[in-house]
Formats: sequence, structure tokens, C-alpha cells
Amino acid sequence: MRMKYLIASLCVASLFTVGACGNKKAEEAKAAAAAAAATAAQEQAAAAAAAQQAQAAASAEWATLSTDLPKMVSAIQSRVDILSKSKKLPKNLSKESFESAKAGLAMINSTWGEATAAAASGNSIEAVDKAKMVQQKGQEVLGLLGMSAG
Amino acid sequence: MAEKEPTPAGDDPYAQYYVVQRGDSLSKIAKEYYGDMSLYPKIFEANRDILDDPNKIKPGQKLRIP
Repeated sequence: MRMKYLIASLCVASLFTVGACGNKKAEEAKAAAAAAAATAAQEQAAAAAAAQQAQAAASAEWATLSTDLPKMVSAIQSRVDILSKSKKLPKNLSKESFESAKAGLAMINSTWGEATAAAASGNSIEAVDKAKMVQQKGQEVLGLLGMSAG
Repeated sequence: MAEKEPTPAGDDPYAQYYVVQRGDSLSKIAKEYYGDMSLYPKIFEANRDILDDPNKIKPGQKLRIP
């Protein structure tokens, strides 16, 4: 009888300990989950802030490019239109270079259209990427036409 | 023929300019830039703010070459 009581007491004590341990582990797990959630939320907020910052920077850059590049495109278009009417190309411009310039202008007009469409839909980052392609091609065409500065 | 002046000037960084030298004419400048003298009216029209007559250009005038 006494032995039976002792065994029962040990069991209760044992169960109590397991329960306490279990609660502790659950609390630790809960705390870890909360910390992980907080970290994820912080990372998400940081990513959102970075994306917002990138979008703001792109918007500012687009504002400059969208003012500057139409002047470049217009200058190239004007010169190509005039040279297309010329009976003979100027001595510093070969037929091949002029053909390259015309192809470049076509690419510029197409890409500029994509850039303005991206900007109109609020995607300043894509708009800036496209605008930079236009800028690079435009400089190349200006060089071909002998219109480069410097 | 004077030196070309492709250096950007004014508000438009992509405009090309030419400073008139003694003995120049618009047709001569058109020949230089376009290869065709008959295209001189293009230069005249682009410079109507400073030119009244395509046959009257003065040394030192800064012409925009479209």
C-alpha cells in the first residue's frame, strides 16, 4: 500500500514537472515566433522603405530625363529629316553612318515611347531604365551625325 | 568657312551652332552641314529671330543649325 502511494506521488510530481517544462517550451517557442514575426515585419518595412526610396529617386531622375531627352530626340529628328532631303550628304557623313543614324533614331523613338508609357503607368524605375537607353543611343547617333558636343 | 561650333549653348544642350565668318552665306553653311546648298532655307527658318533676309548674314552672328 505504501509503495503504491509512493509511486503515485512520483507520477504526480513527474507530471507536474513535464507540464511546467512543456509550458516553458511553449512560451519560448511563442517568444521566438513573435521575435521572428517582428524581424520579418522589420525586414518587410525596410524593403518597402527602400522600394519607396528607389521609386522616389527614379521619379526625380525621370523628371530630369523627360525634360532633357525630348530636346535630344528633336535635334536628331530634325537633322535626319533635313539630311533625308539632301541631294548629297555632307563630307563628314558616309551613307552607312547616315543609315545607322536613321536606324538609331527609329530605336530611340520606339524606346522613348515605352519610357513615357512606363512613366504614365507610374513605373518610374522602368521609365528611367528606358530613358537611359535612349540617352545612350542618342549620344551615339549625335556622334554619327557630327552633332556631338566636344 | 569658320570652325563648326557643336558646343551646346543656350537652353537646348543639343542644338548645334555656327558663328558666321566673313565670306559666309547660308547656302555655303548649308553645304557644309547638309551637303546641299539648296537646303539653306532650313537654317534661315531656324534663325528667323535674328535674320530678316537669308542673303544678309553678318560675321559674328551665332546661327542655330537645325
